[in-house]
Amino acid sequence: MPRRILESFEVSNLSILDPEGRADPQLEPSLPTAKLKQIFEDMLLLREFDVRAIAMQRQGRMGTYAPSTGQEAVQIAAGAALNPTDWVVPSFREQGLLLSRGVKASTMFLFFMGSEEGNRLPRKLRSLPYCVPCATQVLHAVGIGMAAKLKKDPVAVATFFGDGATSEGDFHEALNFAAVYQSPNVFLCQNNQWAISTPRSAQTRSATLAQKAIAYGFSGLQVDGNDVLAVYSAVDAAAKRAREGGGPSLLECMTYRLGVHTTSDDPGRYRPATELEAWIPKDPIDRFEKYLLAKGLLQSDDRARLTAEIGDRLKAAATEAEEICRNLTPDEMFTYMYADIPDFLRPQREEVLAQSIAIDGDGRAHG
Amino acid sequence: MPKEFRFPDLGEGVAEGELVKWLVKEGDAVKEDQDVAEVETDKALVSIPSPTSGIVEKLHYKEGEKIPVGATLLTFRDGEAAAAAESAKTPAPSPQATNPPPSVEKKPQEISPPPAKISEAPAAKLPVLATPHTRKLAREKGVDIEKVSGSGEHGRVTEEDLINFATASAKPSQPTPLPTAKSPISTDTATEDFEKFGPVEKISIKGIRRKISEHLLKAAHETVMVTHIDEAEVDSLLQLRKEKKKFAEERGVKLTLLPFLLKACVIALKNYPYLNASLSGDEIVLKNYYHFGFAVDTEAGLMVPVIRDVDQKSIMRIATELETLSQQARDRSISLDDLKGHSFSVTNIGSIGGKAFTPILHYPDSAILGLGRTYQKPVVKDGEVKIASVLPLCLTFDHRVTDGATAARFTNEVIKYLSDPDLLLLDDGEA
Repeated sequence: MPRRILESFEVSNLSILDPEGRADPQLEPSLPTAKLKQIFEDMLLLREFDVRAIAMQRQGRMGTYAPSTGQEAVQIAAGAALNPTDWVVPSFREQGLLLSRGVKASTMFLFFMGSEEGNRLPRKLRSLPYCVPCATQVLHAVGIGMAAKLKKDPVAVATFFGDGATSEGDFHEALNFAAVYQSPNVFLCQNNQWAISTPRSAQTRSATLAQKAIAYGFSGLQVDGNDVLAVYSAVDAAAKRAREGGGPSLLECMTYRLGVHTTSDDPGRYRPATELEAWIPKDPIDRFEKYLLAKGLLQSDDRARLTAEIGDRLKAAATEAEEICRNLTPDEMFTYMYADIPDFLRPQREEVLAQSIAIDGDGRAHG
Repeated sequence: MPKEFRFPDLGEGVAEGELVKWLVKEGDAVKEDQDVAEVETDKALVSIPSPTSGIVEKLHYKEGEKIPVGATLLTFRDGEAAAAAESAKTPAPSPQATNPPPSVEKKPQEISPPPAKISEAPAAKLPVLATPHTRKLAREKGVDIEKVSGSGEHGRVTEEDLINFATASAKPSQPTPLPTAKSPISTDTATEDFEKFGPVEKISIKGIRRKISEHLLKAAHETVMVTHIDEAEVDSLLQLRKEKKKFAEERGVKLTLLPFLLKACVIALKNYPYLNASLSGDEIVLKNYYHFGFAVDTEAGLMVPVIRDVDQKSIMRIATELETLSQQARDRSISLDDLKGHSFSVTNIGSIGGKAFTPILHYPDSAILGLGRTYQKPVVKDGEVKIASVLPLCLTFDHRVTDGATAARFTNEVIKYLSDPDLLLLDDGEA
């Protein structure tokens, strides 16, 4: 008996905008002007959020923060392609996604200032709060997908994670389960080439991350993640497939984090400068701006004006969050884990309260 | 007072940083968010932006020096915004009039006191340092950890310190301090290894069994139960049932004693409402509805369906509903709502046997009535011995809610109506 080929596979890459912002006419999605402008504004909002948040962290006014600079296209285009009734399940770097879905900037700041109130997102936004552990949210998303399927709710459930997450067991369990049960999931990998200091080359021997889906029996597509239109089209198609009962999809969005992994990180210690330089011309906002300028939907000074307006708005939102934080007491940390605080935690809370009063009193006496 | 910019924790839990380079000089006007210094921690080299606009009065560290987190990095001249400084040296407005940047002044103070204090007076007012393990050990040994002087880093109390302290303080006063009360008697039998005594079979507690177990444990732990025991003579009732059995059967109803008993209970409960009640927080809640739980033996274990508004239903209707609910409980088709909302409960072991038992409350009800098996016995009446059919009644009540006298009076009332069931025609407890 001879050896026969049973199946063979292909992996493709989708790119619509070239580096000069010219769209492939065959692939260019037709989006209303208002939507294109909204996407551009949301990208600027995300970039400015990074500027404000990093400054505040460095000034001791905010905790650890994971910026998105360079990755705006993936989050914002994905958010724009999803319906308000679809679910989103973020990791810890989806500020832009959540902001574009209607989460208030002050709420986002509250989260990074350490208040659990920053995790209280309005239910109607169908957005889960941040998930810091690596890849655990991918399973949660499949759970929501299964629930939607059982309830015959025609929605897509999009979850976001990085290249590092694809090496976690949770990722593989989630993809397998989603495929077997054809849950309405969109798995959106923001491949920014570095899992903190682990390069993509040390993450997997697979030529692409998109092809991981093939083993589980559904389609994977690599997308130019710095190309808003490509991400929009890919997410739009995957979400439609999910809503119509066509099962899950994996999208590997090729992007690059131009900054730090988090404010505790220094990529200068592990990342070659030449690599960074090579990615700067692919900046997603620059490319999209060129596209909009060429279409006459934007004027040359619009970006600077919008950036300034957004900057002011974010400053006000940050101040609002600080005002809220000022009224918090350290015993807050006991408030959110249990509906009813268990007996063993009560004395600890009392202790913290007593100390915070003592320290506060001390501060006033000296001040 | 000058405004201070304290060195923030730039990473997650870094203790200090090295000042690599100043980007401003004393006397410079700086704007909010303008970088003032480059600092390297063990995690990263970062630029630090100013939290406020103002004139730099003093740089507190030299390049190359280590700065502890919380230490003052630089001070701004009092209350002056950069704009004001540029135009003229105006007299400083009062600190209240200025607009200090939110939290910058306050937050570092709250988080970490100035470093000088730390080295001078460790544990003067601040709580002692110790690991959770050591703290737990201290609690177990009954030692106030605040009184132990620590030998570890920054005065941290170590396990050794704790043991030394405990033995030292125990010696003079208590030559034989009680150990941690771990006598063999108090060994937790729930986790005992029975296999050392002989072969065993283990059945994990789950499903209904687990619910029953949790529910009864709650009742046993959180109520004070007393059981009052008596008997009702039920010959008249048995006669009535016998006579009306056919009438009921023609309408597809199997007539038992239970509906009559439930009716009798309604009337008695109207007179003694503390037995149709719950203790909730600091209040006793008397219920003006009569939803009775009744225990059904199912394959999966005990279930207690609830028959609603017993006061408003006929005996025939009650009999029908009892049968339907019992069947639903047995075949597990009963809805969750039909297991909730009971105000009083009845449990009947009589169909199997038993003269007296001590029912456990159906939490949070304040009372449950248990029925034994009806049997014949000689009774003395008007100086003569007669044979009577008697139904044993065992009423368990929550002694926190009411007392034995109420329980006895209630039971007497039930007995009255069971012994003379015609009264059920005349009275519904409202008259």
